Amino acid sequence: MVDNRAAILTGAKAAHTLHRDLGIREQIERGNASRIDVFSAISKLGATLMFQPLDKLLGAYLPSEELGVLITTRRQLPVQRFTGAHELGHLYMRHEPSLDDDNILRRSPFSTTGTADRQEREADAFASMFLAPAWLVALMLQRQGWSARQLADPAYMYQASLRLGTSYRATCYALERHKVISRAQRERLIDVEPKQIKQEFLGDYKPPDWHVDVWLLTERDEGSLIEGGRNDLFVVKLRENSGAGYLWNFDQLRDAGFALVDDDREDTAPDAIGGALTRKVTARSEDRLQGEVTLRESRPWAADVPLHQLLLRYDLRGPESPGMWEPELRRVLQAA
Amino acid sequence: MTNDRVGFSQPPAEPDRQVLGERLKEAREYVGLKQDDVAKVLAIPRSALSNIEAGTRKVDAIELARLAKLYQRPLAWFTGEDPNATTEFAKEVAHVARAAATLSQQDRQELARFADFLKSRAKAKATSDGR
Repeated sequence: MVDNRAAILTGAKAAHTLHRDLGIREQIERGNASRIDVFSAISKLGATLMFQPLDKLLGAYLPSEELGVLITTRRQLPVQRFTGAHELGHLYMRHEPSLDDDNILRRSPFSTTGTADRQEREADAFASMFLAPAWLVALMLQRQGWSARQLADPAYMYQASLRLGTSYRATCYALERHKVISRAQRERLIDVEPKQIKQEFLGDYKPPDWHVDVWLLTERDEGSLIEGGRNDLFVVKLRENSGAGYLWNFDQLRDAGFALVDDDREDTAPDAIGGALTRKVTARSEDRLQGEVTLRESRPWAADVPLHQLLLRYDLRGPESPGMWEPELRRVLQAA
Repeated sequence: MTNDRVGFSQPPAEPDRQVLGERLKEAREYVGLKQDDVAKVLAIPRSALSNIEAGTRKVDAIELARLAKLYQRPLAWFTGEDPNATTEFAKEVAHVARAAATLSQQDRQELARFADFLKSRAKAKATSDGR
């Protein structure tokens, strides 16, 4: 299928060019972000971006007097982002109008067989390359200190998917494409249900809703922007030098509007007396929260002299709710 | 404080005013603005906006112009004929909608609303640029 191969190449190349034109790589590095801001890209290309409850459709691209991208509110943020990237592909490559249902999730973007038409093939390849380019995957592995071998473990793959803002399944495919994992590893990984992985991070705690994501946060997440959904769960796992009197203080997290649902300590070296423990606190975001907190490890009697601290920046407003894309709506309000 | 209190306790909704109120509400909700945000921009109490949308308070011309701008619609969208009567699919949309034979009623409706909004926004932009 020479035609399909050409379409994939066109889509992938367009994604690369748009990253460059919008300076997306520099933005990610400077802002310490881990996800490509696909909605901003749509807006920067001059399209009206709208979210409304759709039934069977995930999204649509309507170029009329005004360019328009419509995305459903009835799906989780990773699906909204993927749909956005697909529509952005149509927009950037000046395609014909397109209505897209969940076939865009099922089609394998890099298979050279299949019956989707050429512009759909191009948009599929565009979306995958736009959301998970090689440089972003490499940056994530470097920041997190993850090895390729670790990513064959569903727990790490799931955490990688949260950082990239792509679904677990899409992330497995992306990392296979970038040769971080093998095909056989990918096949094993996609058999694992994300719910099962979440359960492992949470231990005995049962969330009210299994659609939320469970972030494992460590020292490696210092300063990076955590972009998730309202009610997401955070398992903060930190080394605690309690033998020397140092304790992590989580009051700031509570003050910022998180509920602490579990607090646990694990012995990392059971034989050593006065050694380090691992402190594991599970927090749940209560609302659409945005901001930052600094956690400190200090001695209770000298709280001003922390041994370590961890800055967490978070934006938990996803998924997008009905109406115009929020930043654009804020601009309209300010101009009025 | 507000004009509509003078002499009347709460005037009954006139049919035209009620239609206008409904359209204002529909337009506000479509873009995702809250009554609070809009009331702040107009510098009126939220209850006044609520009454406007219920058709029990008059909207003056200046307020209407500001609301239209905020909701990104041309004035005629609010004051003209029923906007929904004319929103069969625009040509471009009709073309793809035909292609997607299995389109559900709801999706069809949302696409028509979005196409109408795009058209409105283009017109609203053209008028404000021309000033």
